[in-house]
Amino acid sequence: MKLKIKVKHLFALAVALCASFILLQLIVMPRIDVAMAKKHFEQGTSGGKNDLLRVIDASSGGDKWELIRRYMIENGSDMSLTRFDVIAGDGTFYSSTATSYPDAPRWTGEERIKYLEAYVEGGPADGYLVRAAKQLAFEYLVLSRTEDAIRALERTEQRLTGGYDNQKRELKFARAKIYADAEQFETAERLLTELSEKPNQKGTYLNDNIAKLQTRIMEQRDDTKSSVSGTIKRSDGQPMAGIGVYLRSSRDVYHSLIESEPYQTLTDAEGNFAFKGVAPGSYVIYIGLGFEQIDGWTLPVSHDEEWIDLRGGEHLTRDITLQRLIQLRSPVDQQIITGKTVTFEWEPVEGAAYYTLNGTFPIENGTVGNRIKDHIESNSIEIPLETLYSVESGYSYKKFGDKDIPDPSNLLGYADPSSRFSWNVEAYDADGKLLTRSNGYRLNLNEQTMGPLPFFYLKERTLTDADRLLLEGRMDEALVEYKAAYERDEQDEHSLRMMVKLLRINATDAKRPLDAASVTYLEKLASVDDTGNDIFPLIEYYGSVEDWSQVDHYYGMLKEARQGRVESYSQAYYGKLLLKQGRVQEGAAQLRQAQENDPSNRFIGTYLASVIYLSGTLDTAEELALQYPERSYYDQNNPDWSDLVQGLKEESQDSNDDSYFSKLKEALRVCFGGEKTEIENWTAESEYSAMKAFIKALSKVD
Amino acid sequence: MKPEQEQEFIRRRLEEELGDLRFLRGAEVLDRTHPRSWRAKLRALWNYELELPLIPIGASFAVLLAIFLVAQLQEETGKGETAGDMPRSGRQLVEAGGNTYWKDDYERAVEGVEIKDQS
Repeated sequence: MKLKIKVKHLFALAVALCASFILLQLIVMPRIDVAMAKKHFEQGTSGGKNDLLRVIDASSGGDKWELIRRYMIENGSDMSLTRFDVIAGDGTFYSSTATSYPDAPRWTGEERIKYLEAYVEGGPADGYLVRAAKQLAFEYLVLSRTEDAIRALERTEQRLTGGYDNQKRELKFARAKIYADAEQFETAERLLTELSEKPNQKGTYLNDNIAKLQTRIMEQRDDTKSSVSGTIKRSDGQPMAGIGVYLRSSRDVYHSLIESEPYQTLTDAEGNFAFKGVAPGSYVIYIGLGFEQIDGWTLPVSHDEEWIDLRGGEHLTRDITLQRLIQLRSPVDQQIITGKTVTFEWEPVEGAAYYTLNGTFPIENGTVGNRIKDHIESNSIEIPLETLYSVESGYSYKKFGDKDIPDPSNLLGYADPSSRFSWNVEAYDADGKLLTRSNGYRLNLNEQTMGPLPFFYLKERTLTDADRLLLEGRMDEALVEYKAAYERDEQDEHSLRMMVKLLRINATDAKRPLDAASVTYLEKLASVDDTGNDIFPLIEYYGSVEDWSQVDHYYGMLKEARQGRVESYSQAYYGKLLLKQGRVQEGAAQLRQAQENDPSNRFIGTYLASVIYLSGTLDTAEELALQYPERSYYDQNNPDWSDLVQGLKEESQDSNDDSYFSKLKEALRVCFGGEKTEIENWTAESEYSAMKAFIKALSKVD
Repeated sequence: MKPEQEQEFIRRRLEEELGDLRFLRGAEVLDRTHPRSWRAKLRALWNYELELPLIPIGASFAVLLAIFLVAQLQEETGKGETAGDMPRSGRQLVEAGGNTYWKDDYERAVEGVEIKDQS
């Protein structure tokens, strides 16, 4: 087969081929490259980030700015100090993952600086330029490069033309803010004055912020205002530079960190931070870190332990030291335990006086935590499985058909041989302050931090018929079967325990107290189980029927089981029962002790009442109320006991009534009694408003 | 009629019929068939008709194309390998046992201990 072709046609063909090849290389290929890089980046394919950076580098002009805009500027938040991988504080750790491309890799500060600098210099002068400048300024601030941050904002302000007046004002404001943070108050004030000389009708939001910043500067310069400062470092001495520090008010801690919270800053190169001109109130420090910074480390604080109460004029220092996570030794990596005991062992922590051992049960969408053992003095402990089986926890609900019932696996707890359990430890010093913990971020970023998996199985026992009924969601049948099994064999502690759990759930669901028959089983269980985990419901029951000798008996048993260290809630509950009986002296003693072990101060009101009742004066109560403010739970407004006591004090002085205190004492006695109708009758009759307010708050303490 | 006579007859008929026509561009035709100037030579080359064997040429093109594609492919995979070392492009976090892990690391670890358990 031959092809006949003229030379000129052959030549034309060759030219056409060459042209299309050039076209492909110059125009089509780069576009495919860009499209592929975008796709890789958005889907988080490995190397997607490098691909995208390569096409940004290779492109120029509008295309380049478009890529930077779409993948860096749009996703970044402008000069927001809340933009960190992990926000930690008050015993919580929160990783933020909100982004328009959830799978896309994130930029490092260095990468962002390189491209944002280019954008600020050469990108089109529009609204995005303003955002780019603010984001660039933030990246500089993280690196303590304040001068560069200001320069970037100023340069952008110059580049913007007349049509962008509002944006120019925003940039000037951002500069003023940086100057204010750097305590260059004069410059900050000069800029703010320039801004307020030409107030803008449209920019009311900005005008607001200008006024706020002016006030803040005034407060910061006011030495009579409170300040909180400190240094954040790791326990190996490395200072934590450029991390977020937030002084969060008790009104804000129940929600996640937002930009409008007033006290936010970054640490400098030495890890120092300072908040000046802080308004009176209760605060707790949160910090913001990158994954690389928290990986393998923890912020050792527990919930409610780190409150800072400011009343005005204090200059407090709060240093924070991140600690290494504790490594677990055994049982790990899903070890299967078949013996009668399990030995938990972990790496010892220097300076630790004791450890607490906690576990989790798996539930449908997560886990339920439980405390296995408190006050362990060495770094290992052998625990009989019977003890684990008696561990109590809250329970979650699970759908069976169209019904929600308590998750059966959760009810079985450590007695479910198919459950995968996890465990963790916390180390405390002699003062009960948390040193470090085993739970945290284990991401293998800088070094091998992942460690063994903290999971294990308990397969010593096998499921009984009743257990199987329970797991199938047939709770009532399971209860009957547990009862029958227990009657066949009175040594069957498991059936007894499960029976008691189900009876208690039935009573709670029906909102009725336990009946006498159930209490008999509960008492049998308490007599064979030496962990003390089943005693509290008995105290509750005998308290409700006012059988005081039984209350004393079981409280004594609980104290013995806990080796003298009863949980604050149970102790305060017992204290309240003592007050109800008129044994105020003893009740006050229990409440005082419970109060000391409870950082949330939820029983402070009752304790104050017992102190007022016994002393007949308000001075001690006034001091105590100041020292132990009741912490808020979510956004509930808890009573300000200090204000309430102050109110009593003023009322007692104003009334000129010698019988004021005896009337107060009588009111307290009625309130201790806890009879709703009696309290209501007293309230209706009383003429003292502050006293009424105090009694109202007191009757709600629980 | 003898062939000579026939030829003679046709020639006469042609001369008779085309007697009024004059062929003026004989020189041009001669120039094309026997080019003398460089322009004419070039034009001759330009319009020269080649006879190409289709199979060998097609085969060699196919080989060239294959080499090119393989080279491109190798370049791509080479890029992929270096990018694999990137610390955390698009990895998801998972919370397990109270710890926060990368999902892929965690799944690999669980798989690892489960294989160990079975053996």
